[in-house]
Amino acid sequence: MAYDLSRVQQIGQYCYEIPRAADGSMRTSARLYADEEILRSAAEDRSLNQLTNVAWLPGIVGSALAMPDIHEGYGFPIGGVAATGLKDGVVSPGGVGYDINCGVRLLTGSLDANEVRPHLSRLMDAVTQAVPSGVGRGGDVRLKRARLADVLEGGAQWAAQAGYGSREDAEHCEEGGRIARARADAVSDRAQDRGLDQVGTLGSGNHFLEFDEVVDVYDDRAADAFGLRPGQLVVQIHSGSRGLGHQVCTDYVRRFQTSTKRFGYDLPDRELVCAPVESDEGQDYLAAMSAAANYAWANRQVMTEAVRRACERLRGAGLPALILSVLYDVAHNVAKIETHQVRGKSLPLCVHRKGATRAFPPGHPDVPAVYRSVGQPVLVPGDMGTASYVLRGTDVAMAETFGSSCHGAGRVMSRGAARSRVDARDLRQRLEQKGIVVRAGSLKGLAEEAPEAYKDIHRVVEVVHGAGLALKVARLRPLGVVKG
Amino acid sequence: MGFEELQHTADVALRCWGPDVSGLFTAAAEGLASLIGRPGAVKDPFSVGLSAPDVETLLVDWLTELIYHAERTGGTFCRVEVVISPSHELQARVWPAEVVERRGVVKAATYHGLMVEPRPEGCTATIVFDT
Repeated sequence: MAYDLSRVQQIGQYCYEIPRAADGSMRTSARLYADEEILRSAAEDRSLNQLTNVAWLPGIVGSALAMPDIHEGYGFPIGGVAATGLKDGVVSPGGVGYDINCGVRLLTGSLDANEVRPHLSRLMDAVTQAVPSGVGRGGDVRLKRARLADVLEGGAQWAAQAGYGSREDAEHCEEGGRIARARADAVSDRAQDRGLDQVGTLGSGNHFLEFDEVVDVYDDRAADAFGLRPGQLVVQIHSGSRGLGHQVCTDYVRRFQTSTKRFGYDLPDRELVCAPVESDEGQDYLAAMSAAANYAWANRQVMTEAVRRACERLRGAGLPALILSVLYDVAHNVAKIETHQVRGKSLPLCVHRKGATRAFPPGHPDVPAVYRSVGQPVLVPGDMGTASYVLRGTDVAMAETFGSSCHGAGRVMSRGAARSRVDARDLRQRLEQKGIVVRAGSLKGLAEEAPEAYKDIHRVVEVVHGAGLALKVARLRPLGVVKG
Repeated sequence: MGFEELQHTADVALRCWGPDVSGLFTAAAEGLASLIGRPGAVKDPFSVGLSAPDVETLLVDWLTELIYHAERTGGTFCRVEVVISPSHELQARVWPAEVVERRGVVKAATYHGLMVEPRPEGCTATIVFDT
């Protein structure tokens, strides 16, 4: 049933607010960054109901927030952001989701797209062979339990030390590719089992590996700092913590079902189960979630190295030497302890981002030194046929959204609807006519990820740019896509 | 007994029904199997025993067990036999199968809006799967 938009007030050009309800079901207001069309679209499913449910969370600070790529999820809407106090607030596994640290990294290439285009088809074949993708498919890295603990506690830094890339790669990840509070012993045996053979694998669903060309630069200074130039070849890798992360979330949503009763919470939705941040349950969840986040960073790092090796193998077949450097790597699904200004005071908060990207401003100490003068790179992948964007974080985001921005285009069509409405062969042909090389594990999976299943990425990015949450730096056009 | 897929923007929602709680759980398992793929060669059955504080938790636990098994084996399942006691204990036999036509991955069964509702004609529940 559509959400009653008479409850929604416009409070800025790109910001709408649902005031705190009088019935006590919301502890604070809910805010959505959107334009009119995105707002109307969000009202058509349960996104806004899910957002007002988030406003129920005990100890929530500021408003429950949603980005313009909002769409219906479970518990939180996708595109949701909520910060909670450490002393009186909760952490909710449903505020992170099952694919913990599903995220995206961007590699900058030393070549222009034009230099690679003649080799693109063979390159996509080589990458498809080098990076296992698809449902449940294991990778070449098979770990013993003791080694897995190193991955869980070391993240991208473990990968670099183990020979998958460099220390600089890890330094160019959010959190340096490793959340220090991770504890392998907080991750169940079953979750660890699922993680033993999936490091370095793409997975399925909306995960992808994409070669792009930088087609527009909007901010020369920031583009220069990020190492981006028009015509350049870049690579995006979108994946997460695979079965291990899914199991961590499953385990803690289950455990919290019991503890929620003990803490006396009257949940609006059982998927919003939560526990005080400082409780044993809350601390264990944060340790396990951080371990899964580290696993995801290691996963993307190992895939990065596999792509580099695939490019290297093609050198003998005519591809010029191609150096791929990690520009940045952001988490989309995560809860982290961060320091933010609240009513003039500097406070540590537990910031949940579920389908949202951190967007820290210039000068922030958590932004890598090489980018600190312009702000954190904010990576916003679009659909496989349209465009992706690189933006930079701002002080506005820090003040209004706990340093957060959108994470992608956001779906508008269910997977089932996409399967029934999109002819996958026709889609592949359409993409190829646009010069985009497609490698997909299944035609049905390709149809589910069709461009028409997503919002207009340009519109979503204009909202965050117009609202000042993240500013446009460059636009990317897809050249070749591997779909999981 | 059966299931139908409902519209959900990001994930998959299944409305499942059966003549009783055991039938509902059987339908939910069949619905889940349909999301994974079409079954091929059948393998040796295995047993599942679970208990939970309430029927909704038991339903999520049951589906979680099946999701875990499907991922670890890379397969699906073609038949289940489920018996559920009034004290929310489950005993089941599951016949796994190879997948001949894969549909997708199911990451988890969620509690989102989950309620097992007794109806005159039996039991129903709508389950949102993260896919």
